[in-house]
Amino acid sequence: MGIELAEGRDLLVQDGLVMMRTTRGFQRVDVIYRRIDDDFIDPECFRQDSVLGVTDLIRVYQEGRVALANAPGTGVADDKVVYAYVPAMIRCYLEEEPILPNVPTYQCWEEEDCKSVLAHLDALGVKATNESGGYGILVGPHATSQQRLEFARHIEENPRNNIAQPRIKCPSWSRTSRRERQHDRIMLSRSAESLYWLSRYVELEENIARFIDVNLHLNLDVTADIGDQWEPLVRVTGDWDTFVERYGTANRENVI
Amino acid sequence: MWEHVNRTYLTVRAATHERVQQFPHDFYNSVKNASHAFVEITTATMSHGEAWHFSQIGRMIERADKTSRILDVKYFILLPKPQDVGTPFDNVQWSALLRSASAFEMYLKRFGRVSPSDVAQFLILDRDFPRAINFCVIEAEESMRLVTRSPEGTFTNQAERSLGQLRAQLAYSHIEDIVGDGLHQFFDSAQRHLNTVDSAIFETFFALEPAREIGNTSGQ
Repeated sequence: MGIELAEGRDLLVQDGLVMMRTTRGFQRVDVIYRRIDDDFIDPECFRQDSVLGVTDLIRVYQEGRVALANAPGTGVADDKVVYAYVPAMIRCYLEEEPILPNVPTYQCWEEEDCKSVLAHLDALGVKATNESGGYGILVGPHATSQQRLEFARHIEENPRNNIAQPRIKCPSWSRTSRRERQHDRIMLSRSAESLYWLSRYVELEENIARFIDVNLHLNLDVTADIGDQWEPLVRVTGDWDTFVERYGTANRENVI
Repeated sequence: MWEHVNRTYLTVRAATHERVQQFPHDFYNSVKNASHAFVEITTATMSHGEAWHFSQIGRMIERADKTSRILDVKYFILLPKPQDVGTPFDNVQWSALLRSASAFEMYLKRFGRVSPSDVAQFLILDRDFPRAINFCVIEAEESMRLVTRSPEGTFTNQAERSLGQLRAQLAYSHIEDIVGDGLHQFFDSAQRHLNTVDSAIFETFFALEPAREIGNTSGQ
């Protein structure tokens, strides 16, 4: 979708703006859909020992120069039952109609809803209200009858802990060609660095394996008085000093 | 690609000391094959966009560095003493050097017989052999230019500049010049260039620091 999956260390605050480190330099960030807890989001503002967050992020947020989807504090309402009442809240407090419609949501703790959920378990998705990360979920159409029975028992035992939703067609992203081009240009520095080092290390690993292998063959071919060739091999990798410190002498056993 | 890397990691971790000692060639072959498969999987399944070019630059710099290091260390040990010239031992050692760069067969195709200066020419200056320093530098420089979109022969950062300098040196040198000026000096300078490229890539693309912090460090 052209949205970067960034970590705290990919972002920083510079001149009152949130910036992202990319291979094309700093890029300004306007909106963050954040997925880490309030406590860790900004060491300047909340937990000082957080290494996940972005220093000064909250200051920029307060000054209105970055939007945080999942605004600080929303964790209080992080209960899937609340979701079903959001349209009613909008109508009550804002006296407006919701811009985005809700997915129809059945509350198992309401008797009518619960009956209907239990009757249509094969067509619905059931979610535990206070779980995340895919726990406590039943996807009715793909579940076995055994799993559906088990979930029916869960629901009857603790109705408040479950909601159910019908399958909907996922909204799709309509992108413009401009957006695609832009996405092609931007790459997180962290991703580029990881790929660079992944390839370097794989290449290094191959070279070391080949050097050792060739040396082993060579030692079979030549007589012992030629002297061992293990020391040069360690020198090739540039690790001679570390090696001496750890192993002392270079012989077949130690080098391998 | 990630699955492959994970599988290789598990294989190497599971390798016991005794097994490696007992069947060393099996082990090293499996490591080499894993690396070849990794390169092939990346090359054949990843779009050759910026991400792939960064991986290619890393691979080529590492390879050029290792070829230059093994040549540097082995060349002087192997340079023939008068009494050794043409002896079987000599040939075995030189072949081993070529094998260390997977270059034995390709070298023989090109030159037919082993001579120190031909080996140096092949492993340093060859444009077509994928472990020759020249080949690696050409590939790395091209990937770098596709990332920065600088026109050929120009540079926009220190990494590009250093790669370009090394490439020009390799493109316009005879092996006699390099040997004449001192092979060791040449390898030293090549490795220095590659290190410069590495740190410049780090500064230019990976570790962006706010302008004021850079100002602080340069003032110290």
